Amino acid sequence: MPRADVGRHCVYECSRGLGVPQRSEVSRLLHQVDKDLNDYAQEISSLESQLVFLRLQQERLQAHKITLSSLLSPIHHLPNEILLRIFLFACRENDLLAFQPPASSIAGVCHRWRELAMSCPALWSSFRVWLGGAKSQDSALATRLELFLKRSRDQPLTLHIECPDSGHPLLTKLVQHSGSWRHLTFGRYAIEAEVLGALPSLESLSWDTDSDESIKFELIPPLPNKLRRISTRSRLPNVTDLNSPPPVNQVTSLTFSPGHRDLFKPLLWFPNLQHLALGHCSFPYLSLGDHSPRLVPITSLQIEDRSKLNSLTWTQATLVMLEAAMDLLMAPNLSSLVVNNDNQKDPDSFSHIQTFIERSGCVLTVLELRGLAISDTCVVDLLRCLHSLAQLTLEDSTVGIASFKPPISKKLIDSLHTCRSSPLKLTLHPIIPRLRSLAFRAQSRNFNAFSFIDMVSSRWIPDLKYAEETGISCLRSIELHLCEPVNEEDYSRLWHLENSGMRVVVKGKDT
Amino acid sequence: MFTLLSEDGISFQAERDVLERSVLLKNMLEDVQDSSNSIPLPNVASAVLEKVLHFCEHHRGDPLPVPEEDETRMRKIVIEDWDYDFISANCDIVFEIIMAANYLDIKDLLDLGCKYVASLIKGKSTEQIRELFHIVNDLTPEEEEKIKKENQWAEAV
Repeated sequence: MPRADVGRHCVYECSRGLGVPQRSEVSRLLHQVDKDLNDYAQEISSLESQLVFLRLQQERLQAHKITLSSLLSPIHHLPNEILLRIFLFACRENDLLAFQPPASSIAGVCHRWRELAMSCPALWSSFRVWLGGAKSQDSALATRLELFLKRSRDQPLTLHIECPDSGHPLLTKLVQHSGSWRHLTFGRYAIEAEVLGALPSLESLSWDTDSDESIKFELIPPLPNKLRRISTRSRLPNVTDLNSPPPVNQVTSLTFSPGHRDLFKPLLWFPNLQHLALGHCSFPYLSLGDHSPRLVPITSLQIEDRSKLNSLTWTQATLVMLEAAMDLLMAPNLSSLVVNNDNQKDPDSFSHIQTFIERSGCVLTVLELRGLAISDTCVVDLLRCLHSLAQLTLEDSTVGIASFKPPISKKLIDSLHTCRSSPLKLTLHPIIPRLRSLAFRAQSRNFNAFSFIDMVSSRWIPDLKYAEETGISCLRSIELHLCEPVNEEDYSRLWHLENSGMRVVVKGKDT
Repeated sequence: MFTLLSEDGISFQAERDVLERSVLLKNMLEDVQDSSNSIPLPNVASAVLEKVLHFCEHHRGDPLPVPEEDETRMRKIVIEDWDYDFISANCDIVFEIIMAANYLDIKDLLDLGCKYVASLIKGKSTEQIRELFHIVNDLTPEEEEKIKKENQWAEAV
């Protein structure tokens, strides 16, 4: 409470009669006023400090609120094992030259994520490293590499190495861990055998190089017993160039580009092969005269033009390879055939596929033909023989060929109807009765939606007993990709089937 | 047809081969011959169960993932068109879908959800990940210091 009772009236009184007695009264008042002012200042200061404290408390509480609210964030509900599963997908390949590789980003998010990331060596075990950059990067890269190797502990490593210099000190560092290498991909540069040493845990080996030279098995001795997968865009060595066959008996999956001299002869080194993929090759002209069909134990064959070059030479090369593969391989165990070749322009090559299937006597369940210049008649003729086919994918070629109609036509679609005839299938007997999955990617305009839906509906037989009686499997999945906009209403009957359980994907160019 | 009862008491009907995409339900159905009793799913809300059944119906008849191929599957991050459309259309409940897939043991749906979230994480910095998922930095100053040292790469280059 103020001690000085100094109002306007009091000041007025004092100013009117300023005698000696009043002077002492004014001094007394002034003294009291000073004391009061002091008290006010102290109180304000105390309240201000309280205000500061209250504001601080408010801020702290707000921060706590954010932290607490974040705990309600859905990602916090995930148990550790699921969070780790997500991390593993995200860290499938850490680029060690990136500003923050995924594993590093994850490990810095919060305490829980950090603990999880540090407890999971697999997050740090898969990385890509380029050892041909500026020398100034080497020290930072060395630290990062050291960190990843340390945290991956004894986990098998998945590596993608680009190293033009086999003597690079960081390569030497990596090679010290070569006993843990499980999946190895070389970029453009292969690494010499004496640098690599033994690779006892290696399960798959890939070369990304586009070299015209054949791969050199002698560069990676000894090939480990665990090796199951080899993938290269190069050729395999010629059989006669090796003193002894390379130890690849155990390999089950092989991707390579056949060389013009030996073609498929090197396949004799792979008695346990199950999956064979043939990439683009480098022989524009070829005589198949002195080659005879080779029996291979494969169950799946993929022939793919991966060159993506539209030059005549590559186009011809791939075409010849397709024909060579079809003429020179015999695969009685084959169940899956995939031909992916959008550069192919020769309709005659399709007859080689038919001959191959007949010669092999295989029971195909999966057939994918992408981009081949084939007619609808040819396709129907082929399908007629494939009684066990369960999955068919057909894609029109995107390369326009004058005087040639793409195979996905109304006639072809009508031929797949289970109880109707068509100009290409005169009987009512259904072809490919076991079909369960069908995918079309059509390039022609004015796609006949009604024929397609009729055909699909004829194959929708959810009643298992009826399906068994008729010998026709229920079509469970369809995909249709068109090069024109899709009118949803035209396909409304398909949406009913989708609601009943069929997998339906219809996509137009603008959807 | 079998009836499922969601956490919030809504019932859904589905055929056996659809439900058998879930290992949990497959095992339950082996013991249930009578389809008149509904199967309660106390951990799955109706909005999520509806999506899960949609996924299972779409993938009905697909081969089930083989456990031995787990490592191979983990190396593939490709998401097929339909699956991508499905999961991105339901991104607001993606974590609930993941939890339901985990509870019901539907491997391909669990993988799909995890791959989708992983694709959101990939290429993002620590700070961007925190913002994306509303995660607060609760690291101690010592941890912060360690992380800073680990990431010196960015400053050095």
